[in-house]
Amino acid sequence: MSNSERQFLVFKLAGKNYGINIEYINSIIEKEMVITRVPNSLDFVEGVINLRGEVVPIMDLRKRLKLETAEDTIDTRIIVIEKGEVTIGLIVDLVMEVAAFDDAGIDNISAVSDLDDELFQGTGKMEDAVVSLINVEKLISE
Amino acid sequence: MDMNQYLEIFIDETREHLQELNEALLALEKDIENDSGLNEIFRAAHTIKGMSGTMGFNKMSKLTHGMEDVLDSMRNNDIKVSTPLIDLLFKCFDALEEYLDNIVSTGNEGSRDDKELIDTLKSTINSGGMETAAKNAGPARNNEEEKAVNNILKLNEYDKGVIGKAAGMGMNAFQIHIELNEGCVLKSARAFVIFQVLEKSCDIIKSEPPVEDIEDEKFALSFTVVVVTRESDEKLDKKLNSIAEVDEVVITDISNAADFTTQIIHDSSEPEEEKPARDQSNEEPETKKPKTGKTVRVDIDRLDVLLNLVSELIIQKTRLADIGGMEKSQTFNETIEYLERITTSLHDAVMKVRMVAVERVFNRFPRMVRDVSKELGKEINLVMSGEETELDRTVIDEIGDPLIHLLRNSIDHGIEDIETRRKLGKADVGNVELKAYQEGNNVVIEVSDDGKGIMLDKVLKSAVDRGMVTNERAQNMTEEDIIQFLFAPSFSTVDVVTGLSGRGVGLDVVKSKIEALGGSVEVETQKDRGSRFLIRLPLTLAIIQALLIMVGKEKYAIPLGSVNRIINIKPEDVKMAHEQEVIMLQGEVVPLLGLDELLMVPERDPEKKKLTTVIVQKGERLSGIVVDSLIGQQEIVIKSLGKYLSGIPMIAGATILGDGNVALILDINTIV
Repeated sequence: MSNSERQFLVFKLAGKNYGINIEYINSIIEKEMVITRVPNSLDFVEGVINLRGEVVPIMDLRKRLKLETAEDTIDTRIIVIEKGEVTIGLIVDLVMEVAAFDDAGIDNISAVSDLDDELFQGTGKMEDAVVSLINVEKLISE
Repeated sequence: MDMNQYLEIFIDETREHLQELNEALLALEKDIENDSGLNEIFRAAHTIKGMSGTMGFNKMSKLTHGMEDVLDSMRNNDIKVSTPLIDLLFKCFDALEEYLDNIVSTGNEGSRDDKELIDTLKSTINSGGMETAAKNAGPARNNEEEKAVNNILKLNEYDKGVIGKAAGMGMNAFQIHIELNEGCVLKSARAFVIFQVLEKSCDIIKSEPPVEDIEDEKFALSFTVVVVTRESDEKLDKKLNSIAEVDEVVITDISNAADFTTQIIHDSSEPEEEKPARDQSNEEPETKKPKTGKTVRVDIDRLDVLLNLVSELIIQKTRLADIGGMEKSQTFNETIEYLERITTSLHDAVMKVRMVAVERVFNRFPRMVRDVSKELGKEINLVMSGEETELDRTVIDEIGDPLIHLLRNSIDHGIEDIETRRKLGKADVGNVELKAYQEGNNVVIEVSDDGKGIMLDKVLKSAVDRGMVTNERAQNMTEEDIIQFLFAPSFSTVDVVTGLSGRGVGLDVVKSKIEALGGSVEVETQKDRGSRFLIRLPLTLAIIQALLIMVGKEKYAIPLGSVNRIINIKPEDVKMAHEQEVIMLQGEVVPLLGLDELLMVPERDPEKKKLTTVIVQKGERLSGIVVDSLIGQQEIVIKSLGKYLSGIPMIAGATILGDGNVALILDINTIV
């Protein structure tokens, strides 16, 4: 296990880099459809969409990570992730690339202090930036 | 061919036979003198023995073998039918069920050991007179194969050669004619099982029709094979007869192949008076169950796929109808209408395929009621009706546990002990009724008893003690309000249950389960007269008629089943009562709910001149829901919001509209 390499989809939120293990990624779609608001849901649940005939909840990841909100841009995307029975779409600012980190290259989360560490499994280093790696299980546990 | 592909058939069939066994045992217990059901029990045990043996489930086969011996002795009156004996058989039944459950979940029988049970069975026979049983069994079997077929297969020289050689090696050659039961669903599978049994001890040298045809199911109900073997014909007959759905086996010895065409070993003129027991056991269940029509067993997943496709089709049809809005030619409209009729029929047809009679759930209750009432020392008469009422398969699978809960509650806490009943002038035997019937688009299942009813004062006291309601408010509570406490989660804790009448056991679980299925639970109760639980379930799950409405800029769907009527009211018609907006509707006070507030809709219209109000119905109760505007009635496909958003109040699900957007379906049960 120690030397295994894992691939993460890297994206940007409020200028910072985040990553999600690609084993959870279902698809990346443009945010152009109508999102139906769901009353009485958590505030970071933007609503639900029709994704190829299935109703899929959409989470505003900026709100979930307690970042300041922003207007959509031409780069705004929805990353649809899947974990077990749960399928959910995450709104992100910009999808960058798929990067590989080996386990040695993933630092323990305590190195980055300002993060809500529950939601992260660690940080990975790219050439010129740090990527906060999201713990998908925790993210969808509510 | 692989044995695994028959595992499902085995499981299904064993379930059915176990069910037969169960029913017959219960009937026997009720009327111990009438032992006509014994044959049925014997037959069921016998069939299970054969099937499990073939599938290699030896523990089941051993146990049923033991049962068979006891049953045989019972049939021959060597052992008298008695309650302990029936209890013993019920124990065997439980063991078999456990095996089967294990097979379903793990593919093998599990580690359960029934040596003790089998020993008890054996000792029962010994004490009751085994010798006579064995004697009786012997000749019956001998007689059985004394039947012959006239159409003997034509063997060619090669076949004769083989038979001759085999005879030289001390092997026998038999022609075996096998008749399958008329109700046999997968004839080729059954034939395969038979072939497999034969191949264990015989060499099959010829088959009529040929094996390929049998595999392709190109044969009526019978086929004939010629085998050479070292086994005796008796043994073969026994083995073959133990296979399910084999109606008749006729074995003819053709060892003297050279001139066998003229030779029939056993005389065909003298049979028939033999094996009376067997004949009865074969015929009786047949007359009881005439429903052996042409059926296909289909995996429920495949039906789900089919239903999903139909759902998609309906969505697309709705879209198509919307597109037509621009310039609707008459032909276009006609085509759409025709398409609509077809999709509706298609949907109905698919739903019908998924429908299963509630009998499937109900039939396990008599046994449960028997056990519970024995355990509690109460005499209970369970009356069931409407077993033929049909519900969607997915609902059927889910309602078993809630119903068990309610029945247990009725017996445990509803029905009084005999002394109390006598004091109240009631019959000693408590009545519990389980009733199913269709009512409009719903199926209602009622569980009622003639016991003491729910102690409302105790419920209220406990609610106050637990701080669920203040003392002052408790004074003004209606019966209905108090009953609602029963469904509160905290009411299911044990300490309350013992202090209270105990009616709270898991009722919250019952309620949430039923509501998850789109249904509702109501309770009626009368002191010392009994209580009645009404479970209302939607007939169809996936596709419903709904009223589409708008609030602000949002569209919502209200299931048409809960819509009573739509009215327009003026703001001045609205009155206040107990800090609640109400209107008068035909002399009745109807509470008014603003949907925009409930759903916290942004951009709502503050001052409305007229209020479009959808009057919805929950059980007997009416409520008004104020909406902004109506869009119309539409057939919608219910989609789940998914696990992540499960449990959102007031929303029952979502649907995809013609324009491809999602609209939420309101859950009237939690709104009003």
